[in-house]
Parts: sequence; structure tokens; C-alpha cells
Amino acid sequence: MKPIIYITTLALTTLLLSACGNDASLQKYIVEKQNDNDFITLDLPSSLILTENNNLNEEQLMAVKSIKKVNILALQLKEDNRARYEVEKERIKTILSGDKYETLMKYGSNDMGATLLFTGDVDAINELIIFASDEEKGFGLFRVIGDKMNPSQVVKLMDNVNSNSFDFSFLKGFGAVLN
Amino acid sequence: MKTTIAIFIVALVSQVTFGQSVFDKYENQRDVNSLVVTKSMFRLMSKIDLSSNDPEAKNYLKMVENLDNIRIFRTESPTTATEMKNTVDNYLKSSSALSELMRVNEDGKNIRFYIKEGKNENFVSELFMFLEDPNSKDSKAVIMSITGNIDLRQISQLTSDLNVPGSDKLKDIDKKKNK
Repeated sequence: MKPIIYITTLALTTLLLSACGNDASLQKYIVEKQNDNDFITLDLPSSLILTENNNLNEEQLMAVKSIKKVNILALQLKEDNRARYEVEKERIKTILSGDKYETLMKYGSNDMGATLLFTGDVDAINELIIFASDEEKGFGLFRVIGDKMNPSQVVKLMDNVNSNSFDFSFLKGFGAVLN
Repeated sequence: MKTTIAIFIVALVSQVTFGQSVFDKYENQRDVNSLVVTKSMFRLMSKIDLSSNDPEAKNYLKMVENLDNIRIFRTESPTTATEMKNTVDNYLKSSSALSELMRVNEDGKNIRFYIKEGKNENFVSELFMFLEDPNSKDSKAVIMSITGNIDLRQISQLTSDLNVPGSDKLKDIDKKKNK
């Protein structure tokens, strides 16, 4: 009986450990690359992007406040770094395949791939991530970090910013790439 | 004993990771264009509270909210098209709940639609399409699978937004079913 318990505990611990390890690693990965000259990184606090102007109503202000920051990370593909590109791409893919990240949409074609993921709940999003790669140009990661971002409020905010009404034309865009 | 448990654990883990769909392999295949939209995306879209009173938009959202997954795979390679046909045939054989809804032959195109019965005559739990077009330059084969609680009266709107080749045949699909 003992070895069974031992193995089960071991398996569970490994599972738990790997889950915890995954949790921190996208953040860790981005921080690690901030000092890497091959990568383009950008870390923007939301206060820089969305200035709190007086035209916003309370709901829009809440939306602004729920967005904390935006991270951008990109690796440009050059003649001499294809091997590195593949390694780094795989690393990000492994991180994003963790249980914490839920895939919303995924697109793939001959030379291109893009994935839209999030963490949190559909009406309280903590992180929204777009990871796109192109076998000729390189890859890019775009990440919005927030605290319980409400998609409805955020869309309304964008509405206000663009003064264009939101429709599902972005889906059409996705479809157009497919054809 | 140890080995048995180890095998059991490995089997369990691999089940979780790979046991999703026979078509998942096409997601990362180079000569396949793929688009996957998940349940979370549909739930997220339905949370976006459109302030418009457009009844059409409201119906659209309601339809979308009840979807589980959309998977679309398209290939321009004749080899992959043949391989897809085999996968589809096996899938249809293994899933006896899928029944043929209609078959269209035109201009060398062969399109087949299958459905799985849903909660009532206007709803199906899976809509499956396979298109073969050996003469086409970029769509030699197209697989489309939609799961969830699908309103046949509304689904053609979504598939046409996604520009799925062959999906124009869906426009009068519910009429066909109720004949």
C-alpha cells in the first residue's frame, strides 16, 4: 500500500508544482527579455494610454481603472536568428498552453499563426493576450493586464474613444484572412 | 504495481491533453489554414452588452452565446485534402449520431452537411460540413464543425460572416430540414 501512496503524492506534487511554475512564467519571461537586446519590449502603464479626461462617465472611469498596463514583446526574425526564434516561440507556446490560459480564438495558416487567450473569468478578465507569429517576420506578444476587466465596459470605453459603434466586423476580418 | 500506476497516470494525463478532437491535429499543420473559436469567446461576446436595440443584433448574440466550438480547416494541398477525407470518413463512421442533412454537387464541388439532433427540430447539437473541390486553387478541402446548441435558422448568418466556403448553401437549411 505504501508505495502507492508515495507515488500518488509524488505525482500530485509534481502536478501542483508544474502548475505553480507556469503561473508566474509569462511575467518572468517578459521581465527576462526586457534586458535582452534582441527583443523589442514595451511596458506601458495604462495611465499613459488612457488619460482620465473629464468626458468619461463613471462606468467608463471604472473601465479605465480596471486596466493596469500593456506589455508588448517582439522578436524580429533576421538571417542569423532562426534557431533562437524557434526556441523562444516554443517557450512562449509552452507557457501559454498552461491551464491558467484559456484560448478564445486561434488562427493558423502556412506561415502565420495567431492566438487570442485570456485569464480570469469572461466578465472579469485579468489578462488578455495576443500571440502572433509569422515565419518570415518574427513573433509578437501583446498583453493587457488588468483587474477584473469587464468586456462590456471596455468595449463601451473603446466606443467612446473611437466614436464608432462596435460590431462584429473583426470576425469578418478573421474570416477574410481565411479566404 | 508501480509500473501499472505509472502507466495509469501517463494514460490519464495524455487523455486530458490529446483527447479533444480528431481534427485538432490540423491546427498546427503547415498546409492547413485553421480557425478555432472557443466557448469562452462566445460567452465573452455575449457579455458585451450592445446598447443598440437592433433585434437582429440581439438575436445574433443569443445564437452565438449557445455555441461551444467552431473549427474550420482548409487546405490547398491535394495530399492533405485526401488525408482530410479519410479523417472525415472515419469521424462520420465513429459518430453514428451524425446524420446527413444535405449534399450539394455543383461545378465539380462536392459539399456534404451532417447534423446531430438537438433539443428540438430547429436546434442541432453539431453541424458538420465537408467540402471537396479538386479544381479549386486554394480550397481543395474544407472541414467545418460547429458544436453547441445551434439554431439552424440563424447559423447561416455566422458562417457567412466567417466566409466559410460552401456555407452559402446553409441559407435555406432549416427549410430543408423541416420538409
